[in-house]
Amino acid sequence: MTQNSSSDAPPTDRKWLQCNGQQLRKMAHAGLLWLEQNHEKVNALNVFPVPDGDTGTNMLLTMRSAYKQIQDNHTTHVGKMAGDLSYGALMGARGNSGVILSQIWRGLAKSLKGKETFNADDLADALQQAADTAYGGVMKPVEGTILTVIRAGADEASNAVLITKDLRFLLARVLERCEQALEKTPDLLPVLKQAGVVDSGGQGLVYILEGMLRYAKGQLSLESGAPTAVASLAVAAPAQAHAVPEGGELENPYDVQFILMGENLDVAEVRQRIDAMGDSTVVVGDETTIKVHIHVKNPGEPLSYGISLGRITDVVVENMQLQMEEIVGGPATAVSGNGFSAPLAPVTAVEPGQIAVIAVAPGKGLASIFKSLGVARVVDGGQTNNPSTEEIFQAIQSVPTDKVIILPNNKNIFLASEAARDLSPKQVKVITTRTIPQGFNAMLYHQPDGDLAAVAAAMTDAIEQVATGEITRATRSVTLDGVEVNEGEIIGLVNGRLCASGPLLPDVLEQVLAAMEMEERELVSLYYGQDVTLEESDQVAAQIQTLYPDAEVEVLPGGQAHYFYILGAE
Amino acid sequence: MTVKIVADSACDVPEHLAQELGITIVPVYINVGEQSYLEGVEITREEFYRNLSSYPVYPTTAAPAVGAFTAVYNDLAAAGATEILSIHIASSLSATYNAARLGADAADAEVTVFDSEQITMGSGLLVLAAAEAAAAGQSAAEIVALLQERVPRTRVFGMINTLEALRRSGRVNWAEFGLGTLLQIKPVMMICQGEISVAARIRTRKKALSHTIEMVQSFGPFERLAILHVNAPEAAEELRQMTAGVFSTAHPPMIMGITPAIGTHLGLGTVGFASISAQD
Repeated sequence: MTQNSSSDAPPTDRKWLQCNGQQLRKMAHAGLLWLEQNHEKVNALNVFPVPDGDTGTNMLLTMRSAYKQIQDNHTTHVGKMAGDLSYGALMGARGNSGVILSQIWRGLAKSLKGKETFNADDLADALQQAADTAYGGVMKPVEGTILTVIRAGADEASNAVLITKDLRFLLARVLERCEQALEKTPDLLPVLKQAGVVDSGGQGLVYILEGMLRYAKGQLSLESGAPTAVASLAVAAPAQAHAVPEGGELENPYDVQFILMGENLDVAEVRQRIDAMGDSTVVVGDETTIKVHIHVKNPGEPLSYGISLGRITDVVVENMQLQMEEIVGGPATAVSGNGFSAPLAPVTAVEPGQIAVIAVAPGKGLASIFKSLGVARVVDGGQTNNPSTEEIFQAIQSVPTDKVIILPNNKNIFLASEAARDLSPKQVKVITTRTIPQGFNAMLYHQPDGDLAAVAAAMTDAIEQVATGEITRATRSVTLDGVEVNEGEIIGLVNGRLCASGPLLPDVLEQVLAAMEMEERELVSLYYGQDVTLEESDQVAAQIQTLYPDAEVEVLPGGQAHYFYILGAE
Repeated sequence: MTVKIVADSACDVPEHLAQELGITIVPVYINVGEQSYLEGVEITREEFYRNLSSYPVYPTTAAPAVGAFTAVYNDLAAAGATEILSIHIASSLSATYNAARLGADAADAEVTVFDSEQITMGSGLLVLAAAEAAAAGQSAAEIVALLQERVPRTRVFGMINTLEALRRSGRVNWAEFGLGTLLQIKPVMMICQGEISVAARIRTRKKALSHTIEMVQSFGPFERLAILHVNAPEAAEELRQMTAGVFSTAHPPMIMGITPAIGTHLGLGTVGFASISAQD
């Protein structure tokens, strides 16, 4: 590490009028340290609810490369120092945000070239050139990004030099203006507004500037990177009031991140509840997937809350207290767990002119699967609970398009579906799916923007690819399809035909699987009903696996009444 | 007149062909947490895939530095290149093209930067066509015309083995692609002219493979063809045997492993094809 001789530091007891090479080096170091401490928060500002937002990391790696180039440089010539810094940034730049950051340094360096020191006027000019170079570094500049933020800062510098020549004051004005611009990025870029975040690249830049200002004010030590005093700087990210350590103790030492998956999640409600648990809250997402980031005292609290709402995945818990005590930039003490890995299931909205699919399904789980496949409306119903023509008609009328496909998923619902079709002035196709697995397979070939007749034909063809098994209990004694059934026995149907009956589930299951021609199948999906537990289903899955070791078996909650299990195989 | 061809490592140009044809490859970055590696230089493909499951965080990728391109261009110019043609993966999917463009601006050399609108060997096949043309004495402008004419008939097909990596990558619009399914599916993706689309959603691997082959066949006959895989050489070999005699192609198909820079987004076990259809 380089020395931190106080003679090089910007003066804190009087105005700071000239910046030399060594002071610039220390400022860059401070910017790097502050970004290092906050880059995970930048990563969290991701438009997509994926765990690997990497804007913060890319900017950090770029700044590290920049600083590495100058850390042992003893020149006091600010132009030379800026040139080396820029070279390091350019060589290490990665990612879009890193490239733009390197262009900012390049613009600054070009403007400062040949200068022994710089003053406030020089800095204002250099920031203008930095903004120009940053815009030139992008093929199609977009507002509401880091570009908007650096431009706002540069413009503020040009105004502020008219009233002050103090570099520290100038920097404070620039930072404040950058923060304001950052807060407004969602107004300029709809995708940010939708996700409830500010621009991540802009936030990264603000952290770098903030680190510099903290150092210039004597509020950041370059030795540990820790703030040396309670800071008064506001940060523009949503709900990010930092709990700055006093006496080195963090108020909320645990950094907790996870992804919450569920149904009908209320993002605003989750944000409010999570925010009450700690600080530095970032809660973004939609009704099925929410990314949570928070600093808390007790990491169990947000995790338990998450589990109460749905499934959680990509859990990261970090002890920031330990991290702070380690050398800055050292390895993080991350505990990363990934107990679940269910894919996301956002609901697709149908637009006018597109094809909407309406499916009939008994059970919440089956309805969720249909929605995850792109079904616009699910009508509740099935074997013992046939929906009325009117219910299906209402569903047809409720979708905002005039092209509709209906999946009855039961032969007893064909007539009601066709009657609803005839009642509606819309173009409606009924695809004669007899079982739930047939309905799922048909959905795989749904193309919302396709031609109605062609899409309906492709979906119809898909029905034949899947074999369906259904396991339920006999309500009376009968002999049907050559199978003798006693009341109360377990019975198995394959593709709607009775094929097995007996007192024991494993025997019936075995016959059902054989009738489904399992030796030729690669994949079985087991949808378990409302009267069956996950443990029981796992046992059934294990039996299938033992009988057919080469097949893949997936177990999903169907939630249907009466039928213990529905099986689909292909 | 000497035209030199430059590509990035995500173009997946086979190493022996790069050497034979004098193609300079600029490595892209692979980030694992805060560690960053130059692909093929600081980490081999084998090492990366072997360690993938043990990384504490899922890796991400980043474009090469602007300065790296500048240095390569300057070196080639100093070594006697009169023109440089730098071909890169799709600007719609990666920052690499832009980094090369900025690198060219700063270089003291005559550089043309070309957007292949492709990834992996979709770009690589175009790079090979360009390098062969350069060796035959064509000018950069002539080669660019030759590439522009081929881009619309260049396609990459991939059968995604698991959705997890694609989901993590954040590179596709989940809802728009209809991939939010709770069921296991193997989407077949197609990339053409910088656009990714889902050509089919299929539930089992066998069916997805035969569907992929049928779909590729519909774009034949081919000028060039390659079989691609993400660390699944056996599956690629199986695909080669399945398609032997099925595809009509001028150059025999080669098998190429997909770079970690793209493989991290597609997921292990993904297989597919890169192709340039023959001219009608």
